[in-house]
Amino acid sequence: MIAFLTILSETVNNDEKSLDNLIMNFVSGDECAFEKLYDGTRTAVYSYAMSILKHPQDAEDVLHDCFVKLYMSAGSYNSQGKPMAWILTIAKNLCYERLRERKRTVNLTDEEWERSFETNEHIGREEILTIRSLVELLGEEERMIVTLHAISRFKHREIAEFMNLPLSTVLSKYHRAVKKLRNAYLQDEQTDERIIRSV
Amino acid sequence: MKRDQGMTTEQVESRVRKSFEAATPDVLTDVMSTCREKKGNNMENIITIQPPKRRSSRARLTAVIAAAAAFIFIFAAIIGFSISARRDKTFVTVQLDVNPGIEIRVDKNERVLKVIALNNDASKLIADMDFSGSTIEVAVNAIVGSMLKNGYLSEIANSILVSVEGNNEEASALLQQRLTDEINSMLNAAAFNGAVLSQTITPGDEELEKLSKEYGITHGKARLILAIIDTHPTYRFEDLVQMNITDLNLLAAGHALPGFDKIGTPENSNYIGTEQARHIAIDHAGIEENDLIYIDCELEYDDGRMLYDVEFQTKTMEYEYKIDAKDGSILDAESEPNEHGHGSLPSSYISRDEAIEIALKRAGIARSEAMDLDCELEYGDGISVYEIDFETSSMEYECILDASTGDILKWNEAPNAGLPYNSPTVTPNSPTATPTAGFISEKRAKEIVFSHAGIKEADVRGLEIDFDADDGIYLYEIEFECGSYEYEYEVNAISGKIIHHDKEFIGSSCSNVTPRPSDNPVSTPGSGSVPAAGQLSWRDAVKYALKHAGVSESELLALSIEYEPSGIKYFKIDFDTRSHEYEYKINATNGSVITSKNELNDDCDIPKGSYISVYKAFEYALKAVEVSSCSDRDIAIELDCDDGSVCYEVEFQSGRTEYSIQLHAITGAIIEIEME
Repeated sequence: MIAFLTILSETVNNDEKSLDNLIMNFVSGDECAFEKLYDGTRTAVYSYAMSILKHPQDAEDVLHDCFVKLYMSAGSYNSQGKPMAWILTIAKNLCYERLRERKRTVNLTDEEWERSFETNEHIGREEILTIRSLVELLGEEERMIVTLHAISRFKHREIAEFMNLPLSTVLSKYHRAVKKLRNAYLQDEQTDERIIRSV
Repeated sequence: MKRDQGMTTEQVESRVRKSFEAATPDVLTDVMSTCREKKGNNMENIITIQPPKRRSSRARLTAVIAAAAAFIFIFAAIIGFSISARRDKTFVTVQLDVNPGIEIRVDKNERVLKVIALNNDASKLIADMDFSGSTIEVAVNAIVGSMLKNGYLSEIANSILVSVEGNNEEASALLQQRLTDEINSMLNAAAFNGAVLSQTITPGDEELEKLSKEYGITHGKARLILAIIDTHPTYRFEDLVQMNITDLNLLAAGHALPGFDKIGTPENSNYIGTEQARHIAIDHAGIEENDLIYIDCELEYDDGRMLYDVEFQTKTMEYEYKIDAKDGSILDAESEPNEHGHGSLPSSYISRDEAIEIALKRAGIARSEAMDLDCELEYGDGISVYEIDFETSSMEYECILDASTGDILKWNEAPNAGLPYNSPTVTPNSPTATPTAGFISEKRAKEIVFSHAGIKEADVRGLEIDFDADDGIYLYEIEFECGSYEYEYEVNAISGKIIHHDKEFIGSSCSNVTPRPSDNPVSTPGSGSVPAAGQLSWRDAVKYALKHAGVSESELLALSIEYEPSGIKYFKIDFDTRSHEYEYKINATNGSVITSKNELNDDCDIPKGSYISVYKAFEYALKAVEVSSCSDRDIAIELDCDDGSVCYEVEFQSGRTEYSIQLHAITGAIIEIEME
């Protein structure tokens, strides 16, 4: 068990280290490193953008702009061992720029939710519902905390540092958010069961 | 793993993760094509040289003109390039303002290119210091150190403005953060509490450029003054420009300054303070504080001096006083009848009707259902609140909400035992019992349940009783543990009939490891952490914070501790009580309070109960994972209410393992252990 935990912990550290290396290699002219960086972080960037913007198309635009900005400004990257925090800070700034333009977040209708993913063949009803629950049931900080923990793999204290919140606030918001999501998913499953039974 | 919820936290996380993996679009092709296009555009800006062609004499003349033009162009380009290169070399400008205003230009490697003094104080301060080639940290450290030494930063002038101006927003923001932290540590190391205002600025703002040239100030100070004028349009730039940053910070206090980060509180010991100003005004008006329904006191600048503008109301009168901020003399006093009574409230307050709507919405009832509705505006503990009472045929409600924000500060609801029971909604599936007047008591509900389970109340652990309405049926939800079983009951609150019951085996191991509240785990103050030699333990640091806050250990609902080992070593201690949230920084060597902050805890959802203390919860958690000591860098202990059941979440680190342990808030029984 201890050995497993040690390996796990090293893996996490290596993740940050390998992201650092990818940025450095890209700055030295290795374009493949950029593609690997993109592959390793795009879900984190997209989900974080969704947690702020609540809008799939806007989040996609931020995903695009974020990696363009990364590409153009990687030379100014100053490694402090926190490449993911750097990337997400770029994403956050782009999101807030977009919010300033829009003045506020926009709630999507049922139809718009369906249309948002209609060209995506990888996604099904359950995934859309999962994301929609996260966007519609949770407060902004709860959404950010859940995506940072579940997808960007930030530890709670790293989230507290990143979001400048007390650790206790992060913990309580996280537990509250998970509870809300759990209830929403259970309700969804029960609805499915009822539909299956009625059929 | 939670037994009763069907889906573990990990499963929820995994579902979120997989969904976003599926949803994330692949935009790499677009990204690469945009990047290449951008790179291409940059390349196009480089002058392209055309191959020579045979020309006619006329063409040659044109060529001479063209050559001259080209020469001018190239010359201009060289000049332009050198200017641009010089500009490029200045990657970012750091501006420090206290009263001295200083601009530090640094290159891409954060090495100082030039330090510019913008006023006489700054010239004296810098004198013959040469920072060329040193890092920005070294320069800032030396300059702030000199400001402290020469008294520009002191107990009575404790604020500094840090502005980072550069084209690269991310780099500027990171530098802003680093310098702010550095300066904050330096101020905290001095014998007073400092305050740091900070911002990033994007170059090219013509207004800032113009103002800074006209008044000989930094872009940063110009922007701060403009932001303050936005909050007080009557202020004039030429008046505020004379002030030091502490006075500007005081004028900005209580207002949101978009784009600025604030740390610490500006020192007002040069002035009499808002409390004193209030007292002077209220005493002069000859009224009692208890009669106030509203009071507001703000430091302002008017007619060449700092003054306190104190506005207050009783139910019959409105007052406005202007008190000299330095000597407390009354500069102006006005009063007039409050003709509109409660209707004449400050525009920042929500109306009485809005307050009632908020309360009714929380209760989930329509206005027509509310009986004996009473709503009073009251003033106490520094804020104005609405106290709203009402009842329905079945329930009584009490609500206190903040008159400024509409936030509910206190909420109570209970069965309305004083009224005859008035036909609740009985669904077709409800029991066939005939409703009688009122509800059965909680005691009677317990008797019914224990009799049904065949047990004695004395043997019961973790008893929880909730009164709830489910689909129009009022019921008691009763949960407890006894022996190796967990019991759940739902009892109709009118008929006393058991609607639902469940008994689950939880195993003997669970009860074996369950420490009882009466247990006395082997512990000494500071147990569970490993303080460095010569330093306070985190528990001692917490004691200092609690003492300063006037809070006892038993009042704590949440406690988190972080240890900052670099610079001035301190513990960052956050804790919550039912009424307030506190943030402290406690010097890890001598226990002095470095900073303290508190605000109302307006979202406490923990029901009252006999819970074990946060310390006991922590000790039980350590015991459960057989860890005798843990890092004091990151400990969090928090009461949490999950589906009506209250538990502690305890997080800490030992070695390279992070533990997250959930335990029962009354019995201390371990519910869940996670290790990472």
